[in-house]
Amino acid sequence: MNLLLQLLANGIVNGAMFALLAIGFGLVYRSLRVFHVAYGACFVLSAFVYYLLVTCGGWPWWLAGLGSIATSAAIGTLMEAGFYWPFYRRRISSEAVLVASLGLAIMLENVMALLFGNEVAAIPRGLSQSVTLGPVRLTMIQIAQFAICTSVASAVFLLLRLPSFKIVLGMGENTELVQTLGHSLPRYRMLVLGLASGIAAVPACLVMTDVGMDVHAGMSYLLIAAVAVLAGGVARAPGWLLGAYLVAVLQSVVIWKFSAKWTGLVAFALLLAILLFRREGLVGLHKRKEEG
Amino acid sequence: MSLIEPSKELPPQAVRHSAQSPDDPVPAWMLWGLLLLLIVLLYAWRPTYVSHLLVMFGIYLLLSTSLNLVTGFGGLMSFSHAAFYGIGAYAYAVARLQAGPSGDQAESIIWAAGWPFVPAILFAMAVGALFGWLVSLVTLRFRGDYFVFATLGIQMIIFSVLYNWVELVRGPYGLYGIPRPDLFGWSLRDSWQYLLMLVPVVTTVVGALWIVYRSEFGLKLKAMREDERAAMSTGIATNRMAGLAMTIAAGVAALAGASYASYVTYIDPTSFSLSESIFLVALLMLGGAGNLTGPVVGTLIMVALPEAMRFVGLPDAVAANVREIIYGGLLAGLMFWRPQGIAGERFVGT
Amino acid sequence: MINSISPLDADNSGILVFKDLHKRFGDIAVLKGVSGKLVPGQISAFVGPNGAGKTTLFQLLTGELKPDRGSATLNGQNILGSSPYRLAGRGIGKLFQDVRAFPNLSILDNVIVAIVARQSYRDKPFDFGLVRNGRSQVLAKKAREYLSRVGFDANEEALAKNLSWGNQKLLALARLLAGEFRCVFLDEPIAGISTLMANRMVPLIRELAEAGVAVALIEHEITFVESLANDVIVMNEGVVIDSGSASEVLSHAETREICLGL
Repeated sequence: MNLLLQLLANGIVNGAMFALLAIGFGLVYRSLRVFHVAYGACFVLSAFVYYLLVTCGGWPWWLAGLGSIATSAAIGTLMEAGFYWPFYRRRISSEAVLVASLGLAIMLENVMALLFGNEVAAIPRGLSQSVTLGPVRLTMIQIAQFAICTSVASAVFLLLRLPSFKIVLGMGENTELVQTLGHSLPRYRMLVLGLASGIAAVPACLVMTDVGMDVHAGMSYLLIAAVAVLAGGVARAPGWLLGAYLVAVLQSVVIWKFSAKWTGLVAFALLLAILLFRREGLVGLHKRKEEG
Repeated sequence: MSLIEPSKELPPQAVRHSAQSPDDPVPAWMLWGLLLLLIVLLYAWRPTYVSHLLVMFGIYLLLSTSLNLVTGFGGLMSFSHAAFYGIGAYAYAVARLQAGPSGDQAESIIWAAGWPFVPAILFAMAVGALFGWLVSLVTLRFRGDYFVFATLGIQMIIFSVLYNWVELVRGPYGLYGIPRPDLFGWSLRDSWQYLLMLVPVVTTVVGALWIVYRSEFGLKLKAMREDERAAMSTGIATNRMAGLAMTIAAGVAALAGASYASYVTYIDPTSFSLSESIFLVALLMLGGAGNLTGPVVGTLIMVALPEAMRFVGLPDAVAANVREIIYGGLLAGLMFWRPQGIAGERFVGT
Repeated sequence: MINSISPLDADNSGILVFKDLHKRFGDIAVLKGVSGKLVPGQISAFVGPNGAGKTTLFQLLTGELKPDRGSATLNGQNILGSSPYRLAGRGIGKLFQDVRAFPNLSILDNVIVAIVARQSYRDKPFDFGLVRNGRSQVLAKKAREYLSRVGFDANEEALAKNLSWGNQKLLALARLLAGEFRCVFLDEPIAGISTLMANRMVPLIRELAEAGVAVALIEHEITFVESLANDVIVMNEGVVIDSGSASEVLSHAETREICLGL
């Protein structure tokens, strides 16, 4: 029982991080209809920017974090302007864009491998004392992870409730809407990608501070984000959170029962199982078919 | 009375297309003739480097022509082809390896049969086709983005099993000492002898696939690629067609894997990773999906590319990464500029 | 006037009988109990304003959608819930509103697809016979017959996507003929094509009916309906509000208002 609570606690901490990851991916997939495979590479890149700023630059963690978020947002914006937008202008089908994005992800991953090598990088942790709450033990860094990610997620949700951000969520269904309302579509698309990439940098820095990562981790983090969004339901943002927590708790159970190496497999099997029975995801709207 | 509207509406390329139909067999057969001639000439001389390249060319030809059936004809972007390639390689290896006291490695894996060459090859193909069919049952429930993502996930799962389930096939340690082919007591030692066996196999299988491309089955797959709803309304069971295509393709990919394993005699999972699947799709798209010669052209270019890079003189550690950067860039660029490939028909993206 | 349609018996003489079909999308009920039948050799035109449920009805009867309630039989055998390709195998064909010729196949191949799909449906689902060699000459010859029936006579190797909209419709019609269906659904066959082309489409559709095919069509052009249909079914808001011969139905004031007052 105690063990179960501990696993649940670990799962919730990771869930908070995956939730941010999923929000970024979900925003892009929902609003731009772009299956952003390079998102995983972006995530790793921002983690390494943070690593460099802290270890080589000697910046304090919070400043390095902000630096990483800013860099990531800038790269995301650039990606939209220089990569996805030309595809959109040519009306290239979404699956071709997915494949192109996969190509971009592979390029980024290997560029990073050339720059940073293949070893796992991690920042020596300063906050390793732990806190005991009844049967559950959490390290300070875990508590920080949970607190930071949850507050950022709440902030993003509040941001999306602003009238000007309503358009961002409406974009997916009706791209013309943006232009009809007199806004610039390219600018809104850049905003979404910038925002999503910035959001992803937060868990990236936190993972870097805790367990660290190597340059090839992008694909598995992308898998987590995509599984959370698709399993939770693309149409509704709360579904993404549900998906993220589900994946995280499941992972901690798998780690306890079997081994960490099977987490990707289990997450993907979960996704397939959900999609086979509920195409629209756990929290989803039934798609309305065309009418006569 | 002609009901057709004035043909001035036909752009000139329509006429060009009719003159140079993608199904036109002549250049393909000429290409084969040239290839055969080249092999005969080289056999007189026998540099190992060239024979190695030819073997790899043959193996990749099997992979690209089989993937073409699913991706070029069925219009389904599959990123799990390298997984079937790997399944074939491993199935062949475990079927061939001797169980018993002689090999310490055979002790540490679940099953090793010690079969002769031909049953092992057939076994590998059957296992590959079986997996292809099973994967098609799941992935064909989806289309578009979801299909691509599902195949990508299947690729990662199969890789993860090969890599992490150490008791199954020794994971990252790989399998070594896989026996080379021996046919009728005649064992193939060097790569030129190996080529003598591979050429008839590849020619037969690729020839058979070309017949499949041009059959009614191939035409139905094309119709499905073009417009699935319309294809169904004419009476084509599209899911069944695509499932069959995936089964055949996986079987042939497994044959390629078995050939590879019997040629290099050592395999580990890293040869069958996601980047290999990406490489295969890039190779096919580069040559042009959905026709006969596309896979041949693509395979030629992609097998030659690493060699060209070696001549440039990049250090090995860097070269691997640079190669993947090139593949990734090619894939993205092809999707943008020529979604139909260099020589081929239209593919994804209208 | 509402529900004036006479109750139908489950007789097998009417080739396709449908009863009390219901379909809703989310909160919107698109079909609220539609019944009728399609008779061999007869042309039935479904008219009514946009959103009346005509296309949805066609999608139910061709297997593209499943109804929430109701029944439909072809010669007394249930057809609901079957997939489109099975229904095609049982003789139900469709001309899509948006045509859907196979864009990157040649004109000839477009028709050959329909022939091989029909021939191979039951006896040989997996056919590796060559299309373009030997036996293929037979197929090509057959395909040319269908093409010449609709009036295509040139450039059979041109890709379908390079054809004009009207010619794509003709091609789709040739494909439909090649399917040798017993019952065809034409969703706005003349919409968006020139009057010249439309006038050529009319005899083709009539020929189809004369050959004993049950033809159902959706059309907004009332003059076209008058000249072609044996039977007109007027739909509005998911129900059939009137039916009968063209002249009869169009003499009713309410129907005229709904159909022509668009």
